[in-house]
Amino acid sequence: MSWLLYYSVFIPGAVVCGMLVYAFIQWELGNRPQAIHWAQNAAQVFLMVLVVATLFWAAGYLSYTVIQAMGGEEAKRAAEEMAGLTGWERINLMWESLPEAAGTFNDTYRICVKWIRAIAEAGAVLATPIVTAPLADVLRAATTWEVWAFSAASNVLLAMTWFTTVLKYLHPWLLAFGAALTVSDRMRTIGGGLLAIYLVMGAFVYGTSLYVNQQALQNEEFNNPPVIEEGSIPNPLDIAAKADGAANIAIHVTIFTLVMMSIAGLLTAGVSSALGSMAVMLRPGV
Amino acid sequence: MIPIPEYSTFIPASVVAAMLAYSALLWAFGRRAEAKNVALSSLGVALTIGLVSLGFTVGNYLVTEAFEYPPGVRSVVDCWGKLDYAYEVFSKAANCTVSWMLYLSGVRAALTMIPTIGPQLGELFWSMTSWQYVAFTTSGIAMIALAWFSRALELGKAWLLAFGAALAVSPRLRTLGGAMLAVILVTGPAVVGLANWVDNYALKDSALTRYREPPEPGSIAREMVDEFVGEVHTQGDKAANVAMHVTMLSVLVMSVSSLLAAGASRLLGSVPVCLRPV
Repeated sequence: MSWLLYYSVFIPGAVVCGMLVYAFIQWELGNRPQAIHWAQNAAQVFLMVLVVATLFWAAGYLSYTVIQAMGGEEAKRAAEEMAGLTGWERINLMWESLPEAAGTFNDTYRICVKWIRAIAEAGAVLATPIVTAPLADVLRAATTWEVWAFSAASNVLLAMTWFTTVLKYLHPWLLAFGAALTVSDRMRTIGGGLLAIYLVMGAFVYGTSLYVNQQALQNEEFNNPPVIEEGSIPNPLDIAAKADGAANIAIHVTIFTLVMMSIAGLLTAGVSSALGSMAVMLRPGV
Repeated sequence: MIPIPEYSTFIPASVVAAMLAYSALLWAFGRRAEAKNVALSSLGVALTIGLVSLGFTVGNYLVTEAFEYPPGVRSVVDCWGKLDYAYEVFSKAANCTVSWMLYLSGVRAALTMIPTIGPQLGELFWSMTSWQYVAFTTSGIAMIALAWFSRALELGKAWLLAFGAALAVSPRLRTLGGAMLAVILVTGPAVVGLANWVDNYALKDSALTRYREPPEPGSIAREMVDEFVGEVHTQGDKAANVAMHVTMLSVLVMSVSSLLAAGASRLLGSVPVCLRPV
């Protein structure tokens, strides 16, 4: 990390030196307007440092607002922790919390899979004795949409688990090169996109995980898939009724996650374009 | 075959020579100011050659020091020589995901053949593993897209390497060469680095490679169904996790590398080119 931070200071420094040297050459060659133009560009780099600092402040405020909007105890605790921090510290805190976010997505995905397995186990228990075999069909018919809902949620949340994990690997690079390259007029086409990802994605992914934690993991109805006791005959309608509420929660957090990621992608693309870079939209999907 | 080193040296040298000759001609005609400008432009070409070399130096540094690459890869140009390896790795990863889908389908078929309760067990197994099918399908599409992307880059390699750096140094031809140079510096190394990671993480004794031959119909004993299905689901879960990890890394690496290539292309005065298969 430290050598990456070194780059974030070294690159703008090198850019300013390069510009001033070029301005000096132009001056010596007698191209005074060109020399003044390049010296102004060097001054503009300092101005951009202030712009980047303002962006960090604004993104820190946005992160704080996103976390507050998520509701629940965890979000309240995180918002309290963020309250006294600067913009950069707030964004850094979001990125440092990503392993926790990946854990939340992973736990929620695991519970969805447990629900799928519990329904299948109940079906297998019912299907084995010939007397209860027709009830297995009843269970299948009654839980088709729930199994579909849990399957869809499993895939989205599994993708989010690994998306979050990979983003965490990338974040030191995004910060170092994003901040460093954005301040240079020419390099902004590369740095702007990287900085936009750094400013937006951390807060949105962590915020989404807090919401998923509050709505799904803290919810007893979702959190307790039925356990099929050995020797007992499960009641298909009872299982379907229990799965109904849990499947609603699974779809709720899945749609919320998709919407949040779309908004995050849109904001990233917008900030990136505003900084003069490509409109980059990161999303956990092919 | 395109003679890469000859073209890479010949084109910039011709550009500089032509500019200097034109400058000399203008000087001889007494158009001193124009001659001076053209001579300065040829100095600009020399400076651009330095910048292109700097780009390669930074790229080579990242390849050797910052990221892990296959043995023998020491530079950006070496990466372009390993696109066949990338194609093989991504094809193998795609085959693994397809094999898992076939294995799960085979298990379903074998369960369906169990007398009396078979069809119901088959349906239950399907509902239990359908999320794994989706994960393997998503990953399989990403891997096969990356495999063919590597093959397409392999086909364009000679043109890119021969003309990219050469055209980027000329002020007039930079709109064409800049984009090619950006692709050379970013896309090839990104694809090969990603392939190396996929090879080490997913294809060397990971859950993704531990699929089996689909069982013969009638080979699953009725009393062993619970244990067997539970084991298949657990292994499928682990493999789906590896597949999704690989997919998400591929999506992010390709997104960031396309952003870098587009940015570098625009920086070099060319059109922003966004190459990404996933």
